[in-house]
Amino acid sequence: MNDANHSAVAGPVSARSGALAIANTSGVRRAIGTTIGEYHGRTCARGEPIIEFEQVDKAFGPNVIYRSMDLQVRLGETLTIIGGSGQGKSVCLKLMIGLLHAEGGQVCYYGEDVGGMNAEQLRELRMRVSMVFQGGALFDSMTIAKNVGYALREHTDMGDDEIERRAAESLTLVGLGPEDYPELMDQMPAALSVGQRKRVALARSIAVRPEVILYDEPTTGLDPSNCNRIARMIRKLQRELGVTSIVVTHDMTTAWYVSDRVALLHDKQFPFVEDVQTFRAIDDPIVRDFIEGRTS
Amino acid sequence: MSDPGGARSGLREWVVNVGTTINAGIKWSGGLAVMFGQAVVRGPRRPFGLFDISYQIVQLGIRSIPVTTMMSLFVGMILAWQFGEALADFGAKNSLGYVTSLALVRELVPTLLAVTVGTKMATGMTAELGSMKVTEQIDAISALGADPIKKLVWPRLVAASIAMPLLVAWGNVIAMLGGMLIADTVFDVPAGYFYHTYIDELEPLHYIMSETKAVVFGGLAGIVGCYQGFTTKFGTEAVGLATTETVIAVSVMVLLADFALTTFFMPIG
Ligand SMILES: Nc1ncnc2c1ncn2[C@@H]1O[C@H](COP(=O)(O)OP(=O)(O)OP(=O)(O)O)[C@@H](O)[C@H]1O
Ligand SMILES: [Mg+2]
Repeated sequence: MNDANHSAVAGPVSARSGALAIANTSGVRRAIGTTIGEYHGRTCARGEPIIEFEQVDKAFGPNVIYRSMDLQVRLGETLTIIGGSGQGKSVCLKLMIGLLHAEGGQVCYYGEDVGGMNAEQLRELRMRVSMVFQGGALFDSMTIAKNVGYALREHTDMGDDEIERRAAESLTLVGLGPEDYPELMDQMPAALSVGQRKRVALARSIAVRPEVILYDEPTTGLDPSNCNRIARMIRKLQRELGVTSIVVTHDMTTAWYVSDRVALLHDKQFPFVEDVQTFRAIDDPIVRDFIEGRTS
Repeated sequence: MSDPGGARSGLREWVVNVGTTINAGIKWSGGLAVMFGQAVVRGPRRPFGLFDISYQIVQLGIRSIPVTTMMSLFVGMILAWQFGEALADFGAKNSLGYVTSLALVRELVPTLLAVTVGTKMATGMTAELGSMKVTEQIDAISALGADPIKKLVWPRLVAASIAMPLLVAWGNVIAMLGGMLIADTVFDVPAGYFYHTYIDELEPLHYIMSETKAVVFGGLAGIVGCYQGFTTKFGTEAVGLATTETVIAVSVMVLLADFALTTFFMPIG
């Protein structure tokens, strides 16, 4: 869409520039003005860190969640976060979009501290980095169509018809398209099953065609075929739209399928962050116990 | 129990408890004030969200008309009866209209409606926003790049501050009719005479006082209801807890505000 940007972004990795060119021609993205790999004049090439945690401390009162935690998310990759229940995986995602603030250290997006952003900067950040909540968090008082189109209505001046069309498009991506479920768009979230709600929440987050998507347990509670569909969708968004994904999951099959790299949360830090092959070969008992589901 | 050490530690505990309560109270009021400030600063920006505001006015206002009508009718009747008995002893029952009007318009109608209808509005908000908070919908609004204060708090605050004065105006009329009914049927004061004396006693300032109270009480109910919803802790029972607290908080705040407004207006009137 903008050649000047491309040469700047894709300079060192010109082989990738094709993918980026496709990624940045998405209509919604043009309407919103998001360019992958560029933010406020700063650029980030594929494989370079886009989100960085630096020595992050986070606690809720006496309940310490992170201590000197470091983690890097690279542009264009799919990073899976695994770890025990209640250890702070959801907290990690919320730190990335400034829903929670770190007490110590920094969470940076393109090198800019998320904790220090004002309301306007946060708004912009959240159009580029979108989160799918663990429980879906659909708005009960709105129809599915309104839910999915929410961010478009907020941030673009698209008409109702166009928003409706985009919403249908996003729903199709998660397998709830109007061809298969003609009435779904006008239903209220309460009328849907848990798994359907989860997929609608996914559709709502991808509707703005963000640069980074944070998935909080996207496949928990879904049947195998829908698990598979979501996993394939995550891959597809990465491949075709150049989306960077961070996936929190307990489901190792999904993890191996979607990930480029895997990070294990253990003892308030991420001691193991490796690409899938290396990670699967790690001999450390902590890792082996977790991926083999052993209770030591 | 009688050893001095026990007594001392008991006292110490008591002091600590009082301290914690005061601390919590200050924190709560501070949080409330901050949210009010944010709502007033961020609310009036474009887009104004007129649809949300009018929807809330309908929700809060129209649905409260039956309760308002009943409360006002009965308070008018009761007050007229009480004053009527007392005045009859002095043979002064003809001044019933003069006596009831001020008490009803300046004080009883706005305050009574605030603690009933206002509380009803506030608890509704707390329950709704509290369950949104618990299911992360409020976080989701932020995560989608919108402002929950502007989207949720502002329309409710404005709607409550608009609906309350309208309800109080309606309540004032109904309360007068209630008084008239009792005056005519029980004390043989003709309805027309009651009406004239009632209206005669009232000056513009009294209406202003009544409506000012209504705006303030409505706003208080709105902000307390929203704040309680937004600060709901985790879990479904937390919503219940927050809602119960809202009842107390609104009643206390309304009475305090009533006292403050009365001390403000009395010297002028
Ligand atoms: N807003 C909050 N206030 C206080 N404590 C919180 C808050 N959010 C999370 N916590 C606490 O932080 C800890 C980690 O929570 P988190 O939701 O991140 O766990 P998780 O790793 O996502 O677990 P699960 O796999 O069960 O979703 C928990 O002990 C939780 O009680
Ligand atoms: Mg979680």
